[in-house]
Amino acid sequence: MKKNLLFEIGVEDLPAKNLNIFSEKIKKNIEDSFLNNKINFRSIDNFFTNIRLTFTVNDIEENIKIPKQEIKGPPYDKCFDNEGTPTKTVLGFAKKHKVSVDLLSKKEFENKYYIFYEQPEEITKVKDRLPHILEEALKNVEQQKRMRWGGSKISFIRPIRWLLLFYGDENLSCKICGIQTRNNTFGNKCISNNEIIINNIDEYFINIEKNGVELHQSKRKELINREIKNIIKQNKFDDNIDSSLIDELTNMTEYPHIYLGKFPEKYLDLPDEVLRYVIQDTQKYFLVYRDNKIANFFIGVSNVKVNSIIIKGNERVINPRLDDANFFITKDLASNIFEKKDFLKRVIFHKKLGSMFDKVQRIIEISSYINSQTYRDNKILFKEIAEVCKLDLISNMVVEIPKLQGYIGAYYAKETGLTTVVANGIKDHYSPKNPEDGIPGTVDAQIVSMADKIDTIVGIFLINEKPSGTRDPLAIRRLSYGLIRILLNTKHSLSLTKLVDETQKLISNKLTDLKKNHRAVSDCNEFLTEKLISTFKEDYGLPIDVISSVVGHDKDINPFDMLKKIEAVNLVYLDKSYQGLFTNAKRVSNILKKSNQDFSSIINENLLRESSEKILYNSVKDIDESLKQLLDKRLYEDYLKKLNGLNFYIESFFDEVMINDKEEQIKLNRLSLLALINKNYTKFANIAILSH
Amino acid sequence: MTFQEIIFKLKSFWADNGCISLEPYDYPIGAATFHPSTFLRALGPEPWQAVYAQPCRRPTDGRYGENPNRLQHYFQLQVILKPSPDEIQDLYIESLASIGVHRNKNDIKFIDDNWESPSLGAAGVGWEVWLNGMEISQFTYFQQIGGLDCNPVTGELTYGLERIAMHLQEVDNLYAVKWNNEISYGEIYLQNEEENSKYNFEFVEPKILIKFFEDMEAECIRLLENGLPIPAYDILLQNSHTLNLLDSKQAISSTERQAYILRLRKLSFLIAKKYLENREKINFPLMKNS
Repeated sequence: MKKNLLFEIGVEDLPAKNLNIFSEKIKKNIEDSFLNNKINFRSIDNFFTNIRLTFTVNDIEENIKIPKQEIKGPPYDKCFDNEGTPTKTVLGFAKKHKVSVDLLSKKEFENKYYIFYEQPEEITKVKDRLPHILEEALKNVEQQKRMRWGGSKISFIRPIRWLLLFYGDENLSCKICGIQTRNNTFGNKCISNNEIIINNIDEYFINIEKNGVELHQSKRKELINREIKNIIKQNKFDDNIDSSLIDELTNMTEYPHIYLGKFPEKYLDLPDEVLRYVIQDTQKYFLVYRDNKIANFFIGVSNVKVNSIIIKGNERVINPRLDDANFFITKDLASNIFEKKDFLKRVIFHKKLGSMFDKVQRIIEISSYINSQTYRDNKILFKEIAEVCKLDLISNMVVEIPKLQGYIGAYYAKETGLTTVVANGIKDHYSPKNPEDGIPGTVDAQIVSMADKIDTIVGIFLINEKPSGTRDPLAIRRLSYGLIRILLNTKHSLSLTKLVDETQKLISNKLTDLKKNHRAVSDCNEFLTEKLISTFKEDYGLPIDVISSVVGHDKDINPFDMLKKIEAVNLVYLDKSYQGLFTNAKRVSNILKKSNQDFSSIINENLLRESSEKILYNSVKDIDESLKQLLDKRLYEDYLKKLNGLNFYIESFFDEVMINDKEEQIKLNRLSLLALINKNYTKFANIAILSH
Repeated sequence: MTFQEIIFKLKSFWADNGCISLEPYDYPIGAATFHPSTFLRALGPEPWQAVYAQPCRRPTDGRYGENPNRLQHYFQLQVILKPSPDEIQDLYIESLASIGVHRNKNDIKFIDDNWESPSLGAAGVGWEVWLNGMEISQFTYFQQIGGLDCNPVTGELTYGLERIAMHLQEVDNLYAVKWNNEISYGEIYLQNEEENSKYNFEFVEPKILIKFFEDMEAECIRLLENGLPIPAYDILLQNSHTLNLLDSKQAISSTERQAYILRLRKLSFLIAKKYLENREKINFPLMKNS
């Protein structure tokens, strides 16, 4: 007989944002637990609303059958003493399997006698295990902030208010997480708070639907989408909608009702990001557009059937918020923030790293350094950007809505008549903020962006606040990835090691009360290296061993240069014709390692006896100059190709020459020759570690 | 429904549901949570159910009476339920119905919002409650108070009375809210907003207040050393308000502000610990009610 299971957890409103992930995780827990317990079933489904998490497991085989099996125990001679009394060893084995010793038997296994336990076929009922399985599934949901309530001993994401559990047609009465299961549930509480008695699983689905709940999240989403489409059509709005909110709103309700609200047209003069912030981020309405411009309407989702009180109420909330924004912008523009650079002295960047004014001074200097190293932008607009890039932090609008930093600065800059490059630079210097975000559009903004980021990164290390676990003050992980991406995408070769050093000096010089932190620079370099490695791996799909052959080898962290080196090694890495290169590199390196000495790599030609060592020496000498040139030109692949040409000579050398000659001088000379070759092998990567 | 009727009805609703009806606290505080009936009573094992309306002061929110939505002095209705009962959410919904806000006619949403008060060393999990898009309440399960884990957990319901009144009376300007049928909110409090905004933003004298803060902090520690956490807590409240005044006068940078908050936090930890010790000494007398 196969049975179905229904498990409904009634809760107070769940956080809407990650509800999908949360429900999936419990589903996965139930699934894993069924599999671990060797319970056969066909499928598991999950459903959720803001106040319920429902799971069904379909076609469960009622019995768990553990087939008869022989379990091997300790060797027989360890099981009984001379008088035939059972030893601790065998008693322990018997206890483990919950049998008495006389039920064990002696059997031969690979020419030796052992004690065996013949476990009979065992059948347990799934029903008996269910409470435990479900309890475990609820307990082990990681990455969610849990809470306690009332006098309960357990914790969950939100308080659990009821549990409904059906197995087949039977309402399973038991305690899960200390809460007694029931045979009733609730419909949509916005309509009625009466309990609904449930007699079987089918009835559950029918009854809660009758009582105003759309349990299928995907159907609720569809419903919202369909209604939005209707409104768009009826009102001739643009047929594109920013649907980033839709999952959150789908999760926030048991049954969605859609309405259209309106706000005064005069607010359309507000910058788009401000409208988006107020309407979408804080009020959770959908924005609508006409002719690609935000229209003075919004679409909301209500928990109950829409009436004029609801629409008017929502409209009444949005107006003062937009009015506030308008008030701030007018005030800010009247006072021209770009003439108040000293005001940044009052804005703290970090208590140990000074004010934003201090930071801006450093950004200007670091920008100049970066420019002198690689970008060499002659227009020097980066200086102008650097000077104004943080000024919107003193604006009323950003104080009120910090999220708008950069964006508002750019808006004010344009309104005040600053050039487009500078205005956009204010916004762009924060980019890239996340993996999806592009890098700043102009060279000037790129320079400022890198300077700003490295200043924060190095600063954090200098004050001993490096990230650990989930703690990452000022989000320097994100900043590091951003900085690295700018360098790699713009193909500029810049040494981060030197940049870190310059920045460190700058910060330490200006902030005299900074305590000495000797490890800061090396920790910072190590941190950046880690981020670089994972960028190469994740964004460029390069194999980790190839990455480490270069990254672990180079003391100087130069992201773009490293990328070129790694790509060169990677190209030849899987090419069969280069197999010898890697093998020889490894062989040479092993021999040198074993000899455990440093060699000058200066060769005494007179001591070269055998023809194959002479030939090898000459061929190494022959390519010496061109190797140097290739390296200077950063033609790393050609370099490896050239080295690959030595294979034949090296192999002949190994075949024909005994390195360990009787004469110490000759032996040392040969090792020096290998050291010379090794120097070329290890110029920019430790390719020896890549030998298959 | 008038402003005073909303208070009457909510208070009687909760009194009918077992809460003792208390009066507001007599020191300036930034939120009803600072009332000892919340902060101190949430500590330890003793049950506690109370309701009170509390005037609150947030100096930086003053707008000289010119903004229709912002006040530096406003009212919260606070409900404290310890341990939080299973039907707490239903009770809250019923309480709204008692003032004419019905769940089947209005869009009520519980938007997750975790609450934290650094100066009280307190943290909770809960929601903002939205009524047709407007935040009207905070609903919090205290997890920690004064750095101590709450066990049992206290449920806190805080109603924003002005906003609820604006909704019920369908007005866009809170000064137009009817306090009773004869007199408006503005007639009672507009001048208060004007004068106190001037004080908060212009006339606060930082030197005096900083000295007051320092002196009071020493006083607070002295009281704690003498086993007197309740008067020590009153001093903490005064210092918390002093800090808010310094903030509104922009007399301190955000770093300094952070440092002051940490000092308050330290005191709140000590007060919580000492208060609990004193309750334990008298064997948690309210346990008889549990």
